[in-house]
Amino acid sequence: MAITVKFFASFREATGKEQETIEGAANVASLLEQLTRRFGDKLSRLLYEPGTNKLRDTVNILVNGRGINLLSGLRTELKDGDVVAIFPPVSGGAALTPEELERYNRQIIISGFEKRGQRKLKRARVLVAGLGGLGSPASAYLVAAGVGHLTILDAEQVELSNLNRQILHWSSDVGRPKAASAIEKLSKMNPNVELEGRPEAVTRENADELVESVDVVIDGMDNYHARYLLNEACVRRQVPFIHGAVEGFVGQMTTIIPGEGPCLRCIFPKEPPSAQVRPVLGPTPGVMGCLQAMEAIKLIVGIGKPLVGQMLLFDGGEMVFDFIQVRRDPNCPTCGDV
Amino acid sequence: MRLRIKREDLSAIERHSKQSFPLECCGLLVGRRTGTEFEVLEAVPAENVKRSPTLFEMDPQFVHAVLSRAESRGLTIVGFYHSHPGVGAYVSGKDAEFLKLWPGVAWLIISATRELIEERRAYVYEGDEIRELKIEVY
Ligand SMILES: [Zn+2]
Ligand SMILES: [Zn+2]
Repeated sequence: MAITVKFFASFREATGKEQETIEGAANVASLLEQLTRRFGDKLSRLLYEPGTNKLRDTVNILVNGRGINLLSGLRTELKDGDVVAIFPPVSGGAALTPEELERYNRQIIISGFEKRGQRKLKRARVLVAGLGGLGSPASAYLVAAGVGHLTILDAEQVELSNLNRQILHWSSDVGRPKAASAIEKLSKMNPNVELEGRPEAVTRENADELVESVDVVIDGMDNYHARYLLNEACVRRQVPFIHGAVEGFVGQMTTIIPGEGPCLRCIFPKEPPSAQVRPVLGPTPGVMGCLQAMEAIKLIVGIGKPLVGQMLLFDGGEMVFDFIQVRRDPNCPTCGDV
Repeated sequence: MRLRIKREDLSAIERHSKQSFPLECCGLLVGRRTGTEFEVLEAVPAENVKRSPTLFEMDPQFVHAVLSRAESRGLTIVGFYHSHPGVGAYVSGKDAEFLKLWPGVAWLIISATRELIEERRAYVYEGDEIRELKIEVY
């Protein structure tokens, strides 16, 4: 019995044929077997998921004009005179919905930002490490701006003494994990953003995995041990790391782009001294966390100039913004050989 | 390289794009290809089975029916069209995946809102790259 197989599009290209006649195939599976024997790897790569007999979802197979998904799949029986057509789906999609265009209109109309910038944001993945005074405003502004995927990480529970500055956590959240409390607020703020909460600390074991799939990391940590771990992982994986730290009325911030400027270890070879309980006025991390979100958005969109090679020093008491040069240390144990 | 299309066919496609807003619409372009010219002789609207503002997909059985009918008349599917509701007539990441599966077939993309056609562009995947086609209306 003879079955006519018609190839279209990429299948025509892979086989070099418009059609082929196959004898003695009882069903679609055995027909495909014969075809791949005849046309080899080029065809089987288009048909099957790598290393399996599972058809790709980019394959349409029709028997006499009916999709095999509506018949019996690969077990669909064939008879003499049947015509089988093989071609890819016609499909696609734009990146932004009309709802998103309206929601983000005021930033899309910024010259140089535009729809292209918004599409980049939507594709971007950001890690906010720490959901305290810095991480709260940073993640809120990133979510409001429409970053596509945000991983938020914090192992701790909300305490009453957090609430003067950690504005994502409210009175009713005391005792809850910070990650859960933050996700609840952020998802209501902008349901378009995919949120992933990780109630864990940064460790030597998870640091690389945390940063490897993201485009930017925001430092919202409250200790230098964790900061150094993230800094090292970001240098190894070549991921931008936006450092921020606060105390009392003062804050500091810099953007670390591995290979371009100094890393955190170049700037602070040793852990700066710090009290167990540090004083903080809420607006101080509010200012710094917003600036960290600003840096992240600029890097993702490719607009403006990132704060590389300079440290911003903010003093809210005197209301002064100051900048100091920070340099790469050629002998830095973390980035010396990058 | 260019895509030649009759004014009335382009108008029908643009009407389809506006009426479908805020959803994406799609359809097929039947015609013939000679050298670097894609000549559209008929625009056939299709149903977007995804019914989505950011996705489109045609029923493969419909694609097959149009394809068979075209080939029986000595023609072919020279292209597809779809709309982007107000986001620009660029090739999205998802579009590019499927463009590559249809080498040598033109993709006409219309950026439209309910009231207005913002942009129209055409592309083809050929020689391992996506190239833009000049659109010529006649
Ligand atoms: Zn598209
Ligand atoms: Zn360094």
